[in-house]
Amino acid sequence: MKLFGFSVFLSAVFVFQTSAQALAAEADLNRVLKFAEDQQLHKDRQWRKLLHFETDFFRTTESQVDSAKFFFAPNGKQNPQAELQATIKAFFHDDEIQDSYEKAQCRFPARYRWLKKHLVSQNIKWPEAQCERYLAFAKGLKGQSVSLVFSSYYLNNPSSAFGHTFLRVNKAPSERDGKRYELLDYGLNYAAEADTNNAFLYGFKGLFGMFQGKFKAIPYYFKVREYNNAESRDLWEYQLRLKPEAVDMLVAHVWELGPGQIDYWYVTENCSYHMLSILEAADPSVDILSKLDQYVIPADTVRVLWNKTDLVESYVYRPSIRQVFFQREALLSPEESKELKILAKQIKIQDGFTYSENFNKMSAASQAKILDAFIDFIDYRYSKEVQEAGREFQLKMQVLEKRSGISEEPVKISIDPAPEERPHLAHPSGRWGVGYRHTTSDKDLALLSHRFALHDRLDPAIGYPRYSLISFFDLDFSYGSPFSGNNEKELQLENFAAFELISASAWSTLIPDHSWRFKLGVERTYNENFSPTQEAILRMGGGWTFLFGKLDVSAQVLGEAHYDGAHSENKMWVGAGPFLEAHYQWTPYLLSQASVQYRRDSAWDIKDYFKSTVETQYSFTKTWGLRGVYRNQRFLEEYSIQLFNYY
Amino acid sequence: MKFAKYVVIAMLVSGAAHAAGKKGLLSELSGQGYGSAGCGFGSIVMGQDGNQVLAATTNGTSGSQTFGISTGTLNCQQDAVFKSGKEVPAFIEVNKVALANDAARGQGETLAGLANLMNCDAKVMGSSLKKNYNKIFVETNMQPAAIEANIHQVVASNGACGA
Repeated sequence: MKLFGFSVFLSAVFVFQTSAQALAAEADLNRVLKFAEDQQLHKDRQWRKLLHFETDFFRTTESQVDSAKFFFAPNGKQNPQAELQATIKAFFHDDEIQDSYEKAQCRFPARYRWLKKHLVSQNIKWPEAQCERYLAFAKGLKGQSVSLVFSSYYLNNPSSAFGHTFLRVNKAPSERDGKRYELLDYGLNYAAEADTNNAFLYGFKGLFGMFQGKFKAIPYYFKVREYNNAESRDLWEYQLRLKPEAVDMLVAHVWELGPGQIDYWYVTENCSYHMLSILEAADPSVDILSKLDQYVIPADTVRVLWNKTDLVESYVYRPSIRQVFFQREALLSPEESKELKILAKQIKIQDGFTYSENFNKMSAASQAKILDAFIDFIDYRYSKEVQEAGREFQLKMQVLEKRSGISEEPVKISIDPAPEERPHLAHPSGRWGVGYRHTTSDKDLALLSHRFALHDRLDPAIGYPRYSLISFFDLDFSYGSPFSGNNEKELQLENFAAFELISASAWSTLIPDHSWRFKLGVERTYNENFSPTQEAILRMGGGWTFLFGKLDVSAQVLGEAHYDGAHSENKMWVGAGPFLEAHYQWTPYLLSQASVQYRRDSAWDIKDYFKSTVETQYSFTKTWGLRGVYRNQRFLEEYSIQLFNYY
Repeated sequence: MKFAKYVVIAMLVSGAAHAAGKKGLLSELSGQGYGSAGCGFGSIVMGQDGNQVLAATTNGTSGSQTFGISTGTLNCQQDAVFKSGKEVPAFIEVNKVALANDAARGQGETLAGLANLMNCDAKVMGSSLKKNYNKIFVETNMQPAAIEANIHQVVASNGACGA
């Protein structure tokens, strides 16, 4: 009986206590809400960045995140104020949620940290929740600092065209020996969830934001194997000046975005853009997106980061397997080099290796150097076979076995690329041009051009691979009196390259790379069969490029298809023939190019077409250049000069 | 109307063909001896499906489910981070080619990374992997689980590991 009365009393106390707690919590909640309202916290830049609240191309201002679960307020996507209030309320009602993963504080640790920071002076008793899964994530990343990683392009892997950027969360040095092991870090990656293998469909959907993008945390060694080894792309790692607190904030914010979906726009809101957008959300002092254009190209990102912010502490270059092999090859004496070529030949024609008498007589150091170069050669040249455990891989295992029997240490490879190869020193990717053209049919034309991106082979040769051209949305107009009839001045489209690529990788006996070119667009065709007219054009060519120091010479076969619905006959016609081009780099700021082309056409009366071109560009700086062109098509010669501004 | 029907049927056929192609890839990958023991990352090849364009532009990696943040628990990961005890098998599976290179040479970044994961001395481990190269990489036919077992066996016998 007594016992019963006591327990009644106890439970009454308990009820009273919980209701007192609930009341206190309710009071705290109201104080937080009032403070947020009084201080207009929803206008805080970081709050808006955490919501990814931006004004887009169509002048709509709303959050870029498309998942309903990212918002507590029904109109949260459009209204940061409503979202802030709803978020605060959710934080205080987490005790009603059983699954800790679903608690508001655990789903939005960055918002929670941000809020607490702003109310530090208010003595609020925060209803702290235990977030096991988030804590395990943050502990796994063990972030201490952050690097922005840029993977450059290797054009024989064509659509790596614009490069890629992601962040790497750098762990604290190992407790064991105080060293850093970069391979064991995690990378934060934002990429489109592509659902198509069709290149054209991919391009189209990517351009118009029809893919969903997702944030992922990927072990850095995965990225290194993917880019450095499988795709032969160099990695540039830019260590950022980010306070440890901002690093924690970054990890917390990526956790918030993890389940979310954000539309992926190939040229505007892409991987680069969102790496910067999460940096800005993590650290209110970071301001970089405002310094970029409407569209964001990965290569531009690192340039702007380097030139216009003081965020970059240092950079590290991580060479691709291709560069490592070239370096190892360069270390060989002529005699050693000969042995490497013998081995490279053997792997092609026989199922095993016979080491020459000469090789067996060499010193252990020489043998190790040759085998090390050969191992990297196989990894680069036969990367697919090596990954898929094909024939060359089985043969490589024999080479490794031989190498393991030689105690000699490998030569340490360290490559420090020359300034003209550093992407952060590149010229800006957009290009305007104005100029003048005179033709032998006594026409004087004004020229106006604009190229969206990226680099051609006469632009300042800095920060882009010297063997490549990547043109995206290149428009050339002329203004003047037309060829026929009256002397009215008119504006004509001379050239439009939706997409143009040239890869002039050099051929060598060891690496017999092909060179090739591709163009899709519209050209104003000049020939002897009809008056100049715009035709849709597809041009492809393939052959070889030979490198002689500063000179490279390409020999290719070009084929092209023209289409013009305005022709009464031959709406579609094709032509093909040989093409020769010499490209010479006097200095990175002075380059010349000369080419000759013969083409046999499928239609029209005059089926033979010849063209020769000589071009030179001198760039005063990375942003201004002057280009002169002479073009001869037998029936028509033209001289033009254009002033380019890169922005 | 008839035309529209043809279009729909054509789309369905191509979609099915595409899906079949995808499935082929996955089974091909899982058929490489990545059984339930490994993490099933498959190999990282330039251009999944042999389609360079797609792989290069998406900067994707094989296995679209992996590494998702807050996707819950997968074979080796929880919310993209490796579960304890899974770091080593995952590392070996993805890095086995580079690891074999380093082992044959007796040193290298990949080998040092693995040594750190296993709490071993990189120098000692390097020389013992080099000495036992055949046993670890050839006799195992490069199967990740077998490589891992043999590495543990080799380093256990020479006291390179432990605090």
